[in-house]
Amino acid sequence: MPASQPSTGHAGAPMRGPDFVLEKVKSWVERPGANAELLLGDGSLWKLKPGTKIYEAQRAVIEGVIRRNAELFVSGDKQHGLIDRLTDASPLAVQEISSTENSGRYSVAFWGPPSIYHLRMDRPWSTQALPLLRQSATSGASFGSPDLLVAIDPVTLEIVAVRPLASGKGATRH
Amino acid sequence: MSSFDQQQEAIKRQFSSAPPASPVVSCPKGALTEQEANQWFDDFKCREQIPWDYPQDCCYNRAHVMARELQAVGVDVGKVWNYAPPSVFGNGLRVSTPHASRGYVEWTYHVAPTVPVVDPQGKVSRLVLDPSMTNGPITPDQWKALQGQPLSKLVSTDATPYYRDPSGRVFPAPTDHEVAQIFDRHREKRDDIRAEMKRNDTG
Repeated sequence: MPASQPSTGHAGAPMRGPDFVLEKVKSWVERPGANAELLLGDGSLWKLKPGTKIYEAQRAVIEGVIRRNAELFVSGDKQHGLIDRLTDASPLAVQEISSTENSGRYSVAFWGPPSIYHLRMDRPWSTQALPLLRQSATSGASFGSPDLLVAIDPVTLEIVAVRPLASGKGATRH
Repeated sequence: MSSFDQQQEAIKRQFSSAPPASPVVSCPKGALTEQEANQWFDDFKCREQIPWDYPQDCCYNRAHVMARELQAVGVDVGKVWNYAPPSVFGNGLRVSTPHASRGYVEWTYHVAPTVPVVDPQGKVSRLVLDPSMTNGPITPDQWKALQGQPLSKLVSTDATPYYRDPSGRVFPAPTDHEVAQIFDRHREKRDDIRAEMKRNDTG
């Protein structure tokens, strides 16, 4: 199985998939001179080639997620175990969502993080994510009581996964 | 007059009997001199555990850690919050930065600590310490102007709120462990952005 290779996209290129997985890490194994292996809760196995800056950054994210017992979001080719990008997910509540779509995306502001994020409507998760984001904006959820688990691409600020947060899981802030 | 007395007089003549032109100004309790404010700024900016170059997020955590440390040594620290006007979409604060793939970040708000600083004339004014945006302490108005939204609203508070929403609801600080975890996560994201930008720069 080939390992994760650098993409050829431009700076700020969106996550390419074609598969997108948000799961807990089941195992993370590094071996000297070999590809590292990442096994997620859905059974998908991903390989990472060591010795690059990208690898170091991805390893830090994976180890951080394991330390916090949090979910990891992976974009890549599941069949071949090729990772395009990965990031973590965090509990958040929506402050405001744009009322209309602009250039195929909705703008979203969360309580806490200062940046303005976006949801692309050509993504497979958009039909499920949009009502959850809208509901959060009117639910009374706030910085201290988030109601969503959200994964965000830190490079493009695209919202790449949204799930309702099980009650009582709001203690960890962004 | 003895030669010793003559020497004494000569020495006295070297010094003016007039009051000093620039008297040493006393520093009010809780305030910093300009030099101290610059030293604190430089000291914070050198801290590698604080992700200054992650402008996408983290201002509230950075402000909290700086404020707490200044408070611990008796500085009368506060916070200044800059809010984009409603609706935030299309009206966000905008700051140019080499640390974002678009070349800028767009915010709904921004926060940083403020400290009272006494100038050589003895005048005390509040300055903002924000190593994520500037190279030294600046006035709140200068800090606001850097965020590119003339209609934004500046609000000053004491150091207590960890997060304050635009309506004025405030939220207390999380535990030290959580604060450290937030820095960990934000450094990871900062490093991910760096690596992605680098690999795309180099093809």
